[in-house]
Amino acid sequence: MIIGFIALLFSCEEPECDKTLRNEAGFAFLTIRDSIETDTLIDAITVRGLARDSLLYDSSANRSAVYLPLDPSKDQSRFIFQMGARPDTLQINYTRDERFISHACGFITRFRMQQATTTHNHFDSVTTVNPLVALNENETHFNIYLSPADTSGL
Amino acid sequence: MKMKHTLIYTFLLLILLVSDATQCLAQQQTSQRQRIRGPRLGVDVSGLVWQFVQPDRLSVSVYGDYEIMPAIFSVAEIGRLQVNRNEPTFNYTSKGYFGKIGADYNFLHNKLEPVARYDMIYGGLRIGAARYKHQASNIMIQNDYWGNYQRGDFSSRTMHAYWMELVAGIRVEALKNFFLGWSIRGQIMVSREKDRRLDTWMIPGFGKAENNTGLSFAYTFSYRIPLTRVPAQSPTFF
Repeated sequence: MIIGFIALLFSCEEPECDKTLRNEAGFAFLTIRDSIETDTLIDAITVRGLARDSLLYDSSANRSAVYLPLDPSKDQSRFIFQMGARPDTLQINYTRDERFISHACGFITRFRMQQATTTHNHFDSVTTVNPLVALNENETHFNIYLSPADTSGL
Repeated sequence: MKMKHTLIYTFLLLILLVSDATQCLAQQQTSQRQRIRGPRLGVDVSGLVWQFVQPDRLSVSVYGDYEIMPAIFSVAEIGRLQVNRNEPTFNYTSKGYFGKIGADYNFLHNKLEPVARYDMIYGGLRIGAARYKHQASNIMIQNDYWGNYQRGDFSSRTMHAYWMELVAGIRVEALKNFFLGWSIRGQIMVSREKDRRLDTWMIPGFGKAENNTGLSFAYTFSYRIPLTRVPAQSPTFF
């Protein structure tokens, strides 16, 4: 009976959080050639957040997309992409709200994109594909178009 | 395992019921054909058991019933639930009250007379209502790269819930006017308010809010105030 009672008590325990809470923004690399968009692989790309020391991608090879965490404490995130001699800085502006997931997992931030801008060294432009960055697994939210000069050799 | 536990409990209470019945056999022969009537007041101690399992959850409830007709008892219950959960990334608090009203039918009313005249194996119905509020505080958004962000608090929100309950139980007169009881309850949510920002964890008197049906147990101690004596009657129906 004691064993039965203990088993009953343990069956009532609250579960641990059983998911990994990923809410990264996905950036796909594309090239426009003869008015046709094509997915593009980058030979080696290094990405970090502005004013951050640690790298998000370190000379990552053959990437067609990168998935980057947005800053949950500010209404903007800036990333530095290094894929040649000159880096490109990408700035994303958004609004934030916190969404409840579960009592075990807590909250995540949901970001609603407002604007994306980029410098034009290796990047030509950036467009928003899906303005809502919430709980997701490798969704694409932005298309980054590469400058034709950078893709002529690919 | 739950089922085994339930069976053992039921068995123990049945033993109690039978021993009580034989004890009283002699004395009750003389004073038969009269029934003590009076309001019975009790407390549900199952909340104390929960205190050991989940110290962050405090529930208390009291109930009263009265035999309005032979074998039929009107019942009212009130209680309070308080929850304080400290999760790594936020604190959740909730508190509120509930009330239930309904009726029980004693299937033993004629069966054991005049031996154990007040023991009950009963079934009943309740309607339940709760008013409660909850809030989340010290919300932290975890971010390995940019650093964690202290979001602050979600303000408190008050909600209501209404449900139906089916009750089945046993109640034994262990000492004169003093009863021990055990019951199992099946609950069905009829209507409830939700907070879009934050899920309710527990509804007072109902239990876990994530399901629209629930199963709960109650263990009660109660005392009948012996107000009057009435001639014993058979139930008017069943």
